[in-house]
Amino acid sequence: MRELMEEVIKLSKKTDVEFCDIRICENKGASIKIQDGVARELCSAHDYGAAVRVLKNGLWGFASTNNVDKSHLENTLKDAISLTQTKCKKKKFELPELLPNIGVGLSTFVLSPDMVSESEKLKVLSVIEKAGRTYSKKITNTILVYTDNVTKEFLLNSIGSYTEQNLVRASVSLSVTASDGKKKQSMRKRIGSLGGFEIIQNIDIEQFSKETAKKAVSLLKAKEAPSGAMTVITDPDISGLFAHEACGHNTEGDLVAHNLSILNGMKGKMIASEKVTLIDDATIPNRYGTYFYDSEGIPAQKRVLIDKGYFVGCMHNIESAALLGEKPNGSGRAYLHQNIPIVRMSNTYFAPGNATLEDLISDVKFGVLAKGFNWGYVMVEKGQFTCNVQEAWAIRNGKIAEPYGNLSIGGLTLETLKNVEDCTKEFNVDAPGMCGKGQPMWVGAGGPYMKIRNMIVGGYK
Amino acid sequence: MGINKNLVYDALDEVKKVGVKDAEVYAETTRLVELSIDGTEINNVRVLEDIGIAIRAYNKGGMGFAYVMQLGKNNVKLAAQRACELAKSAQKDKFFKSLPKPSPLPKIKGLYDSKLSVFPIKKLVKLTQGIIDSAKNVDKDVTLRAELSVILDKESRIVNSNGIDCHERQTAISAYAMAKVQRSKEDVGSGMEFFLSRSIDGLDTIPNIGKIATERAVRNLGAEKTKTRKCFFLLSPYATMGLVSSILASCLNGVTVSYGLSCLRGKLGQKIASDKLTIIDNGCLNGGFMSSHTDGEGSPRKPFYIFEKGVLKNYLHTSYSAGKMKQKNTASAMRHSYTHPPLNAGVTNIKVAPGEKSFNEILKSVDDGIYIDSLHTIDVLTGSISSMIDYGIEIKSGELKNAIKSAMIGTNLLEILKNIVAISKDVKDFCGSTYPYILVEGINIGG
Repeated sequence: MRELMEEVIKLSKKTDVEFCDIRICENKGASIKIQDGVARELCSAHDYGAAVRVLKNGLWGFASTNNVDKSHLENTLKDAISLTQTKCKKKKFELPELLPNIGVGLSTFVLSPDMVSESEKLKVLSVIEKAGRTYSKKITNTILVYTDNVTKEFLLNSIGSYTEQNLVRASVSLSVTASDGKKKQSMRKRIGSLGGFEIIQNIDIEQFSKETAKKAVSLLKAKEAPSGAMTVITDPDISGLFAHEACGHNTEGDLVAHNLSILNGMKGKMIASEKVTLIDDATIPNRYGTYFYDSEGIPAQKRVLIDKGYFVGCMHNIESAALLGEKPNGSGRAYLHQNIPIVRMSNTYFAPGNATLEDLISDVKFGVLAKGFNWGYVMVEKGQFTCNVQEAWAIRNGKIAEPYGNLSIGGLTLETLKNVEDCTKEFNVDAPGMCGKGQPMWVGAGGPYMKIRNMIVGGYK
Repeated sequence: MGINKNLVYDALDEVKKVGVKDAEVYAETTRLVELSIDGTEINNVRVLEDIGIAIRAYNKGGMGFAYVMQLGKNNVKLAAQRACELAKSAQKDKFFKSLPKPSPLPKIKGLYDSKLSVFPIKKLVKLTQGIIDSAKNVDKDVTLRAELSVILDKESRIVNSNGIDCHERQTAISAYAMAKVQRSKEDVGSGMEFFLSRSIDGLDTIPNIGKIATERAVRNLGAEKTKTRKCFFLLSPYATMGLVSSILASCLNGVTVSYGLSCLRGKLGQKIASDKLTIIDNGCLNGGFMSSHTDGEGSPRKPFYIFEKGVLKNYLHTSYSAGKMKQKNTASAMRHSYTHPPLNAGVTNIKVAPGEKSFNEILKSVDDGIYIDSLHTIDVLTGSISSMIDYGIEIKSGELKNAIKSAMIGTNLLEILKNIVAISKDVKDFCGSTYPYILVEGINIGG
């Protein structure tokens, strides 16, 4: 395979392109859905192909093919080159100084998912699903979705980098719905990381299935939440969603370089409370967003983005680093061979503080404790974000009171960051997810409990 | 490129050989070009040649699904065998009745334009550059995120064990522009616009999306916070599109409804909306962006009512959900590509029946309200809608005033449907889907 890739790079060097890389990617995946006790959907995926990217006069030409042989790869190179000859009005930029990286990254696992039979997988998954379904007579529905992936990526570029990467991931989510005959409420829990099927085998059913079912039942007593600005305390999962959506996207170098982020021109400035430190770390062992090399052959790194309130850095691919005069830091990721490497997050989190959850709650006269997320999104250009919350509780006079039903919290990123009052020592980076930015991507998120003043709550009265 | 018909039938034969009776094979080839704008320049040009084949097999109602991108005979055979293995590992689902059976297809024109399939990239570059130029003519400091995407040729074939054999060939062009204008750190306005077509007709209007998006961004400058209260919400055609194609479609997905997981379960035949609301889904419209001869499973498309004068007339069904709920199949199974089985239902070309008043008459009737340009998320189980307002403008005494920021809508789908007080006669056409302005009373806003 490497010989084929080298042929393409050699051919590119005979042309007038300034840079060329070729990636060959393979993804083998499986998914299983168990709904209301029936394992009714089993799927298998096999993606395989190659992409060639060239740079000329500041314009990227990118072409991909599902046929990885000499003639198709040569044609793919020709296609990519022809795209750079389209006379776009484009300012040329100088590539940053790049040293060749040569290396192999292999994630660790005990049980490779493709070596575990469907019947063995079903045996384990059925126990997890059944524990949620049979927790209470009030449980009316369960949906368990299991996925695994073995992804391989090979990259060779014209400056001499050659990297290989093999990442094995597994995840499972369980959604439990409870009903009292009038109302319905649901709760969802997800676990996922780099690793094999042992991740699923090691699940603590009490914590995962029964606790999720218990929360769904308890939400049947939920009241309608109020709306307006108030103090919100976010749990590590919601803090992670806030870190990813509201802050992480705005520190992506491509958006900053093209003035599409609210942080354009603000490097070195204080943009948040001193309690806020934001980190994106692609090297945390075995997290869902962890990797060894990005899709441009740059080693994965830990990147401090906000340090005690100061905006200190961006995530970069080769191009955004060049545009901002900085160094690439391993954030150019592509989902499959068909996708262009763009700036993506890995595992994004707020650093812990010194407080306890009791400290955060004790002086809140009225507020909301928000736990677990459904979804979130941000409008990066104006820094307005929404985090949809699974489980919310009223805080009255320093104590947790009644539960609220489904609601969102949100606001403007720069205002909200300044309103962070404190963070707990208790902290984790355990929330796996798929980020969408034109193409999906495996990411992780987390943080401490955080106390934030004047956050907007989208209640119903 | 192009689909080898023999390969598709070979895959179906392979499934039969291993004793699986109910199966479907779907093959697809796509040639696509994309040009993307970051800031104020074209930054990437991408060509994609994609080809794949997917096999869906059922054993006692349990489904196995496998796909490959490599169309060698052996790879396809292995994928067919894999789908069957998975189907045999799946558990019995008593609600599965059958994959669709052959029936006459509708006649639809305008899904493939041979001129678009050979449209030169140089001209696409010119159109994309036009988006930038038209935006800069409105505001010289604008920055854009935009994309022009052309499906030069998409060919697909569905065959199944009941005798369905449907071949489709399509072209499509879509473009979007998000514009940002900024006057100070705090004063940022943004706006969106997009373009959809099946043919080269009207391509010269693509650059206008840059202008319109930038005009919207300028209109959204000077945004102020708003008060928490109940007030009127005036949905623009874009927000109406979100309400129907995203929010309502999720809640009407027959598969979700059949499991009791939608807030609209048990509402069929009931008057749950204002009698002003009539919605028709028509997947057979000539040249419609969402038109196709069949749905994702090979069932022929046909027009049907979703709402008629406020009464819920149909859920959106796949063959599975229709069989399970003993209702007629609306042929709404969505298949986005060969990489996913068509297990969920969605809408095609939507017509929300227009009302009698003009937009201006409706606007003048609003004393206190919010004009919104976007609405897209819901908790399908409870119907709760709680989300920041992406693009909103304050309405006072019948006039549009300042843009708003940092405000949240908090309501419920059933409340919106019941509280519709007016629908405009002005509509916007999105390549076959037509959406009016809708006025809703008594909606909660948190600011």
